[in-house]
Amino acid sequence: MNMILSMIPTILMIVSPILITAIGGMICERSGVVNIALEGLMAIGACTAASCHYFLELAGWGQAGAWLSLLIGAIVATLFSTIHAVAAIDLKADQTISGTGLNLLSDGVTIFAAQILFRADRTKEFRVGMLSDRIGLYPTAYIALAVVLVAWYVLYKTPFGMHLRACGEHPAAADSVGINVRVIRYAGVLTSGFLAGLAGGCCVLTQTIQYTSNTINGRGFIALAAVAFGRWTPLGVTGAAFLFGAAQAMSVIATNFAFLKRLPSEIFNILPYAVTLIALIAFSGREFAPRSSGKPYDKGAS
Amino acid sequence: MKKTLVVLLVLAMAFSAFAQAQTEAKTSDKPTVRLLTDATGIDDKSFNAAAWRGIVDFYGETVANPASKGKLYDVVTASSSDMYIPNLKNAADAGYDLIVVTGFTWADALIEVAPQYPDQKFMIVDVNWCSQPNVLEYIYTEEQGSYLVGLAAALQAKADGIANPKFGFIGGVPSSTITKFEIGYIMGIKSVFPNAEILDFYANDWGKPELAKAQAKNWYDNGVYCIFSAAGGTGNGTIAQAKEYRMAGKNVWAIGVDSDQYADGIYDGTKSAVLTSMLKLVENSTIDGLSKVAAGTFKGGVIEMSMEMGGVGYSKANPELKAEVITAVDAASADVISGKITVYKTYKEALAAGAAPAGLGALDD
Repeated sequence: MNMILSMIPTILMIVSPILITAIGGMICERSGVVNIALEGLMAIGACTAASCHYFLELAGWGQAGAWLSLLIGAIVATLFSTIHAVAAIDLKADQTISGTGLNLLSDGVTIFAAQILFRADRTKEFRVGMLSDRIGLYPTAYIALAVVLVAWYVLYKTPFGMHLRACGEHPAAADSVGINVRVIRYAGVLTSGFLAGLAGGCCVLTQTIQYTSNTINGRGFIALAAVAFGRWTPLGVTGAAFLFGAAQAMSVIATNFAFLKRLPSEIFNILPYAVTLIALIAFSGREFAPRSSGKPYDKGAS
Repeated sequence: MKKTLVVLLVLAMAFSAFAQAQTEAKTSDKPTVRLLTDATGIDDKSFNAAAWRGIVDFYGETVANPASKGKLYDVVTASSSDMYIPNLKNAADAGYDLIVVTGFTWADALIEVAPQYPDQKFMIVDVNWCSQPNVLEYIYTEEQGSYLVGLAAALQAKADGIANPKFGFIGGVPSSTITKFEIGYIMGIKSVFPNAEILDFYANDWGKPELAKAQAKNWYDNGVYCIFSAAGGTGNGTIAQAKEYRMAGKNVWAIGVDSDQYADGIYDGTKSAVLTSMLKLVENSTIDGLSKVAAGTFKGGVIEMSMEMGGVGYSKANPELKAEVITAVDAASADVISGKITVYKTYKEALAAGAAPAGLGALDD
């Protein structure tokens, strides 16, 4: 039991970045834009945060530098996500393609930036990332909790949230009552950029010592799956992110039990994906996605 | 929409163009060489970096100032694995005296290209199954270096007065190569603590530091003294966790792999959470290969870079590694070279000799 308790901070460390990103992706889709660039935006945030933290540490900022780095990473990723916003909203481009383009671009940009800053294909290792508190939790766990609560409150308890959801369901109807679909969707995409960048920073500052080309390693796509699996609701997405995170941590937890350790370790590697497939099959049958998600809104056409 | 795509594509192409450094080889009395790397390039702090260091050293220059780069030697990075064969052919057509590749991912491409250029000299590191008359293959005795770091960790624990220390090993993807690391490490520990509890874990991935970090925390919490990670980027997680715990005052250590990871583990001044590192000196292979080309003694075949040949070793960079430990490990190193200590390469042999516990995740091919 004690051992399970001691694993909770670990699970939260793995879950937090996925959860934060997934909430951003959810908000974006609820506004009517699919953002598959979450992976790339996380990479931008992670690379920026790792670089900033390295330099701030040199300047003697310590832990305060980690927080500032998180913020800068989130802001840079927000700026980067405007590319997707312009393509998807103003240019009415295919959102899958512009998202993919962003993912590919971020791969190159992060490595290129590292080349310029550190003359290497990775950022220089920082000394101390974010530290855990007395009960072993990293600040990222609290950030994730705050993000979920704020997202829930804004989406369901404020007029802005209702407008945002309307734009994802029926933009023409929203438009007809005077809601500016373009502004709302911009807000959705930029929020997802901010949160993905924040999550990238959380990832690199709590889990490793530097940014490399495989620091993000598919977490953005896992977050994307968590959005769909969580049925586009804050609570559902939180549950899905926990399921994925816990499934990943299983491979470590299992080594504490002799009877689980005897199983081939590959079983635990496929666990998160097997769980997703089983859950999707079990819960399929109804359409939960925002109805206009992924469809550009053309004012003149409707 | 199309415009955006075009802009994105152009940008993407511009970036990949930066990654390519094309230079023509020129004739000179010194041999010319081209290093071909996978996508990680020569800044991977691992094989590629070491191979490049060896080449630059051979010409008496430094990595910071490679004056003859582009004249005598150069490097081409393959952005993806489908560029391996074209890059090999390009280099062979350009007439370099030696073409160097590192890592088993190049083996298939090299086996295909080498017979098409029978007069071209190639060398590859970490592969011993090419069997071409014009390919020189270098492999390493990782088990010997791993023995030393295991021994160092165990002796350090003993010097710290820890009665019954536990030790951990984190591997990337299980394979016969990683097994050599694990078996050597275990034998090193067991030479000091014959009954020490040794735990192992394979992340099945070279790029999942969060798993190594989770496992490291789990083990350190349960009384593990030191963890050796032979897991590429995954191992960064172990170092991160060891740093956090050392800063919090716990006496736990991580061990680095391939290159000296002392600097990666620094958390305060000269204090590093990386006690020592198992060094795999790939630079000595490129130096050896180039010397053979220069001397005209190049011949296809397999060369095993043992400890005796300066292929493997351990790092003494951490000032907290006790002097008596270094003395003892150096003595053991001499015994390994003289053959007094034999370190097994496979789990099967080690099991049969009772040198390793049953139930590990190590795999022999």
